[in-house]
Amino acid sequence: MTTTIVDAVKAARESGDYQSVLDSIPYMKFLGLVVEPDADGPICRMPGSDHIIGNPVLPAIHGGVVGALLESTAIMHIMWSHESLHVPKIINLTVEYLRSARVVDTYAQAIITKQGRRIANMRVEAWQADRAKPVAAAHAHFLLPRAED
Amino acid sequence: MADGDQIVRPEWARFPVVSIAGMNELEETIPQIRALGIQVVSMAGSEAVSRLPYHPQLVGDPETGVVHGGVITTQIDNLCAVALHSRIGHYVPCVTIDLRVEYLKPSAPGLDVFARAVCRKVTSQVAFISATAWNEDENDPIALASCTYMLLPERESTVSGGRN
Repeated sequence: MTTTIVDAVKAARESGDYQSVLDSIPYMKFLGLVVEPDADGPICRMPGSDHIIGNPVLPAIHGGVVGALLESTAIMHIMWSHESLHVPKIINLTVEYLRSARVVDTYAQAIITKQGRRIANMRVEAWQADRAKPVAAAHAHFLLPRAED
Repeated sequence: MADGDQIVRPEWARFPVVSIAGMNELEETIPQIRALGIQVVSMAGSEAVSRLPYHPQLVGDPETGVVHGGVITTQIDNLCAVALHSRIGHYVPCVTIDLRVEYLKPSAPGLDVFARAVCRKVTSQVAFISATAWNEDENDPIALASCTYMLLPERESTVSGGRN
C-alpha cells in the first residue's frame, strides 16, 4: 500500500499548497481541479472543459460532475483542517441544484458544520461568476479515520 | 397500464419516442458520460440499468483504488433521467433539482459499477426516481439514491432528454 497521499498531506501542511494532494487523487485530477488557498479552507476551482459537459445543447456541466466537485472540495477541506491524513470515506451526500452550471470556471468551498471524533458533517457550496448566486449546494457526512494526527 | 406509465402531459407526445438504441446514441453525445464510458444496458417501463467500466483515472482514493463517489453520483444522476424518459416514453426536457446518495460501502477496486434506476412517480412538473448501485450482486448494493427531476415547460426546452 502506497503512502504517497499521506506524504503529500504532510508536505502540504508544511507548505500550505494542497495541489499535490489533489493531483495524487486520479479522479480529481481527471476533472482538472485546482486548489486555491483561502483562510477559511481550500477553494477548489474546476475549469470549464469539454469532457465535463452533461448537456451539450445548453451547454451545461453535468450535474454529477457538480456533485463530484462538491464532494472533492469537502474531502480537501477535511484533509486541510488536519482531520485526516487519508482520503475520508463518504457516508452520504445530498446535492441541491440551484442553477444551470455553465461551462466556465466553477468554484466550491466547504465548511465543517459539526465535527465529532468519528464523523464530520459538511456543508459545501459551488458558484461561478457571482458567489452570491450559487449553482449548487450540498450537505454530506464523512467517516474520519481513527487517531490520525 | 399502471398509473404513471401514461403520459401526464399530452404535449410530451410530440417529443421523440424513447428506444434503447436512441438512448445510447444520446448518451454518446454527452461528453462526461462518454468520458466515463457509461452505457445503458437495459431499459423497460419505469426502469433502466447502466454499466460504468472501472478505470484507474476514476479512482478517488489512491491508497485503496476505490472509485470516487462523484463518479457514482454522475452515473446515478444520468441513469435517473434515462428511467424517467423510459417511463414517459418520450425525451422530455428535464433538470435535476435534488440528488441524495448513500454510500453503503466502497466500490470494489477493479470492478465495474452497475446501477438500476426506477422512476416511482411522474407529475406534470416533477419526477421522483430511486436508484441502487452494485458491483457483482444487486442484493449487496454499494449505494442507494433518491433523485428529483423537474420537467421543463416546452417553451423552455432546448434539449431533447437527459440534461445531466
